Amino acid sequence: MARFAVTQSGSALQILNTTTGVFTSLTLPTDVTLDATLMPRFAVYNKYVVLVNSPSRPLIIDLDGVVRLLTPQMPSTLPALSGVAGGSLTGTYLVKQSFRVEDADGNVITESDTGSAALSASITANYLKASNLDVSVDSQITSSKLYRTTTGGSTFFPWFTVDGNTQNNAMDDLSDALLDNIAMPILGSAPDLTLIAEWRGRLWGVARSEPENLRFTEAGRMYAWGALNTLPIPRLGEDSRGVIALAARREALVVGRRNSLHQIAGNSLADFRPIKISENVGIESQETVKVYRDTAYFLWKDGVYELGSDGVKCISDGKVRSWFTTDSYFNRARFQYAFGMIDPIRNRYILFLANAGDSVENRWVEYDINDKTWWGPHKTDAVTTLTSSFIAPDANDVLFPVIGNSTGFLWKQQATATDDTATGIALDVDTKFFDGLTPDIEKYWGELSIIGKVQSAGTLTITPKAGYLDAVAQTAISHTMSTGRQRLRRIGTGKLMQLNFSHSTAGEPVEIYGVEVPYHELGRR
Amino acid sequence: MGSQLNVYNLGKRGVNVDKSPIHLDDNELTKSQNAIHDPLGVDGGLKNRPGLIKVNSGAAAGSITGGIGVPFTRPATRTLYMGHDRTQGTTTAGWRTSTNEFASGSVTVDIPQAPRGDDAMATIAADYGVTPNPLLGVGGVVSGNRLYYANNYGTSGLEAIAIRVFDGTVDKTLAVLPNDPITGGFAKCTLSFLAANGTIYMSTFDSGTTSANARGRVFELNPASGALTLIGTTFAAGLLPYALAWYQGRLWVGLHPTNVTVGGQVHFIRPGLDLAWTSDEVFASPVCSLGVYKGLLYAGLSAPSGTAAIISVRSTVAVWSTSQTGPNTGKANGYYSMSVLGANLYASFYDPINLVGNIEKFDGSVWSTVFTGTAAERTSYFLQTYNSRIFAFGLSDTNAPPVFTSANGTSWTDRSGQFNAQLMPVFGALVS
Repeated sequence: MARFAVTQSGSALQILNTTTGVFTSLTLPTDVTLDATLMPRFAVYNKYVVLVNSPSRPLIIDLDGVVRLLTPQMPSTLPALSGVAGGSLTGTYLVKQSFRVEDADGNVITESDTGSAALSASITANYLKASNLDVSVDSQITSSKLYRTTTGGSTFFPWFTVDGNTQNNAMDDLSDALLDNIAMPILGSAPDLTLIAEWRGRLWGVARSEPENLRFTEAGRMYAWGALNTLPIPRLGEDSRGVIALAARREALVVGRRNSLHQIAGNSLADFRPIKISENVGIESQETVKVYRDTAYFLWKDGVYELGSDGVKCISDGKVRSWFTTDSYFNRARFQYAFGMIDPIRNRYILFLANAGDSVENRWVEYDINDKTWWGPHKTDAVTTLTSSFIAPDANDVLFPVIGNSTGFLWKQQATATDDTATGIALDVDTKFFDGLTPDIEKYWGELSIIGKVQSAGTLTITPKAGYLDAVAQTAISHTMSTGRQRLRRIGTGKLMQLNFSHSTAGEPVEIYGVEVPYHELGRR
Repeated sequence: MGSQLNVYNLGKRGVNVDKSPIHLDDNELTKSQNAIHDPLGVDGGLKNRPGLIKVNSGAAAGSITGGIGVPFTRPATRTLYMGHDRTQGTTTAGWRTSTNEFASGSVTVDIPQAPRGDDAMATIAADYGVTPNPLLGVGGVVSGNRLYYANNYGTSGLEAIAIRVFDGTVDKTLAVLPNDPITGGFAKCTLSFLAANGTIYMSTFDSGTTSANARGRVFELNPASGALTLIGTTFAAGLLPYALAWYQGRLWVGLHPTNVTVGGQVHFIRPGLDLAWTSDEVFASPVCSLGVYKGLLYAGLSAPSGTAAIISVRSTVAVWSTSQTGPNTGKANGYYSMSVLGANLYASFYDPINLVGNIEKFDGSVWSTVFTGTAAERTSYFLQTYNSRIFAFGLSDTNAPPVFTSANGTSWTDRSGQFNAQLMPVFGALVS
């Protein structure tokens, strides 16, 4: 067995063997294409991968890599009913037809909506024959399902299955009494979906043509998007984007609009309802939404938020709000293209953004979920454009985060302090301006001691500043990392002192445990 | 006065760009490009972030705009199992397996247990009266990536018959056939298996010896619990439920009278709805195979000496008519197996007297002979389709059975060299 991932690569749908790193292209159904400019959105349901937004019609992918329509096109012809001698059925009946795709064991993979009902026909002691049945142009259809009423009735019940996708007529004389006691299930066609999520045993999504309505399937049937399974999300008409993101938490489906958050409560069609949980907080991009241990993390206009058991809370305020509310760090116009990732190894929420002035995502910041700290912005010189991220399982089912780029490569973390095979990691760290709690007192900053791990090689560059906040950088100091602990030169005078650490040589890890600097107060001038 | 700045929690509180420089804490940073606080052994320190390395050595088809890790295993190996009887002259029976569709390196394994052998069918063979006996039924079926089969058992009718299940690693008994309700004794053997309608159907030969008294039943086998549920009632004496098919929401059975001079029948039932089987057609000769193709039901028949066997097709208005007539008229000539590959129906024709073993193809309009066995290949072929290939397993009573495979029905590749014992018609593929 091999673990795998499904990716959209350009306009191709591919399967990646996460053990061998080999991609295999999948064959799309006839007349289905992928839009390379739209982000693919996935869900996993009942061992099928569901793909929406980028394909021209929603798709499902099975473990063998067979790609099918989430819901086949429904029959278009009107069945014609008549009686055929030899049977034993008497009454007046209506019939509907749907198309099915079944697996080798006869289990239904997907079923279309039913076409129009036949005009009623009355028969006496006959077989009931349905002619003019539609034959699908979809070569994946394996059978048609016929539904009929009891005599004079209007409720349809499963009648029988017409095997194959060739015959346009069939007949049976099954009595009303032997018809299935359970009425025809709610079917319905999957709309052109932009969003998808699995919650409460159903698929939930948003149609491109109705961005303010939340649609959902029947329980247990990913293909059955009944027309009545629709929930308008409040603040209708507020904007043109409608629902921007979905986040499935344990007991609630979070629905994000541009400027408000809602969650769906309830257990069935009878009581599903949207509940507004916040205004003046929304979601900027579906791709930034990640749910980890029942907490949803996402980007809005002014920062990163978490939505967990304690409600909605901004986790960037007071620390890195300036990253998201000024133009100094990131291109805020591209927040809608930002994407996020959970690093389950270090428990981090990682957010990929465009650097200020750039028009591609090429930076990322990290939020440490355990100690609630922010790190970054990070960059790599091995990749110019980052395009996506997700979690993949390896051969032992260990999850690892991967990042996709514009040239068709996926990247994962490695212990070696190198990007790709030979690109250094440009570490660049600024400490605060240390003031000894007396920022207005001139000081003499003595010899710098640095304590770190004893490395096999490498030099860490330390650039001090001494003075006030406008102090200029001094001549750099080299710390030989193979010494581990090293006493370096004196820094000099100033009210404040700041250190910058930098290093960019490939293959050389940096690990600093602390610094010490003795100082003397010289007095106020 | 001398003081000491000791910062051993460098970056402990991460980056802060919101506070004024004066109000920052000592353990806050204003920038940490590519530096992290690593909980994996460096908690409290500061280190460079992990490196990034490519997952894929060759580029994908374009910019990777999204993906999802799938928490399931994807089939990597497809192992085919083909049952065989005792090797001539020895007592070994078992399975021939292959991971490359019997192209090379096939091996014999003794797990799962040996499938039902031809001895179990000896009673039928005696009444049928031709050698080798082409009536070997279907000895097992794969459903849900598990192989369900009847194992080899001692003397037919004197021991309980176990239905076993093999998942590729573990082989165990799933069920034991209930005794014959007529005689109270053990059933003689299983006849056929069918995976359909999300479950498994199987038929039995319970008692009797001739077309006057042979009896059998059809069961639904619950693949999870092993429960066997009788489908409908027993059939009239002398008619064995030899072939099974699922068609238009009904289970169909082709009835075989064990004697080629006696007529067969086709019955159907709607499991769970009907209490009894309904006779749909009575033929002049036995039914040996059933197939569903392009929405129609086909029945392959055998015929007595002087008559060519036919394949009959049931129209959508329940009218049976001849679709194909066999090329020979030797005793028990017949269409013993059918399978669908792509847009075509394939049927194997065998004449045990004139030694003819052909495979014929039907494209919905025209039948054509696509394989004609040479001398050693003139036998009854058990046809199975898997992974876009049709396999023709020769059921000759030899240690060197002919086996061929084809992807298109036109060109056939000889796989005979991969087998070394008399084959039994039980085939399955398990993925791992």
